[in-house]
Amino acid sequence: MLQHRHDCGSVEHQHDAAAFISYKLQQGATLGQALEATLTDLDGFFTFVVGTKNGFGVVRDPIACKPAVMAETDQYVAFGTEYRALVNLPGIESARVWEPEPATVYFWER
Amino acid sequence: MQTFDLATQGLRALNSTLHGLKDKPTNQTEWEVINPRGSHAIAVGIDAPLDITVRGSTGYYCGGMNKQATIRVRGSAGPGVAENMMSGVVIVDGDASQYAGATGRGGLLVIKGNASSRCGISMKGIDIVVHGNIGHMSAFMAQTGNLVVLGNAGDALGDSLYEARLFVRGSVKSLGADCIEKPMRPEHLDLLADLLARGEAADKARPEEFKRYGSARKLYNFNIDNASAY
Repeated sequence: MLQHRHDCGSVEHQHDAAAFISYKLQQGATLGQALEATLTDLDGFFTFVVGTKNGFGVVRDPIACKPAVMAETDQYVAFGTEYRALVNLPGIESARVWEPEPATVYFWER
Repeated sequence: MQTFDLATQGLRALNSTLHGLKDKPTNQTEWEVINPRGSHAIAVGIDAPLDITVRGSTGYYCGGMNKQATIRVRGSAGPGVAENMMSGVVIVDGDASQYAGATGRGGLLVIKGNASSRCGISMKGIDIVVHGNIGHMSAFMAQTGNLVVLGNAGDALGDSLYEARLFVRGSVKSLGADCIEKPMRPEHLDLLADLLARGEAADKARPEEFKRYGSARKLYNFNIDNASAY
């Protein structure tokens, strides 16, 4: 069923989108390549926040109507759907708070 | 000055207190809201000549439906700041999220940082002055009013625009359907000078530095030759 939806190339549910990423990774893509592929292969509205053992990636669809906010300090990178979700983080007052651009892959590694 | 602590007194008490000042003679015209912490719907639906300062960042719809009041956010604003404003002034010291000033019918919205996507979507008479950049799909279906941008505009500026006037000083990534650049006439320079002064930007930009964008008016009536643009 999921395979069938991948072939259709449309996102009906967020977990379809997650399955798309893991499918790409199984095919040998790096996480960065898999995130880039969402922009060309998927239709519909989505926001991906993907964590791996040593990295953290974010990408939004080109329309970007789903809300997304990032907070960045020297200590951490945080993602939320709104600023209110981030207000209890340490040092949030001095964090750089910004919204990810549409159709742009962001990736942090440590 | 009246101080209202959102952390202890709560949002509903704030808004009902401010609504209670409508049509009443009061000397409680200056208000300070502390600990906003991204709360939604701060100071919405006010209809009184109050001066309100929010000390911190706000969540969704701050200053929505405002009439008469001057609301200043000493931080950044979440989605829909000053949406459907009727009159008065909303000033955001930081950035604003999506659809700032959406459907606004009057008053002035000033954003001193950047505005995100869909700034001024379906605006109907509001004036918006953004000191930084604006995101994609801004002024989509904007009907009337003025949008002034000191920085750059994202993709599809003014898509399906009606009669709103758009002034951008920097680059425009792309124009939306039926939005075109138009010549600046003397009355536009006068209008811009006034908007920059009221938008606290007179010292940052001069009217001659802007380009004007408006509707080509090709989408007003159905025309089979334009079918692909609908």
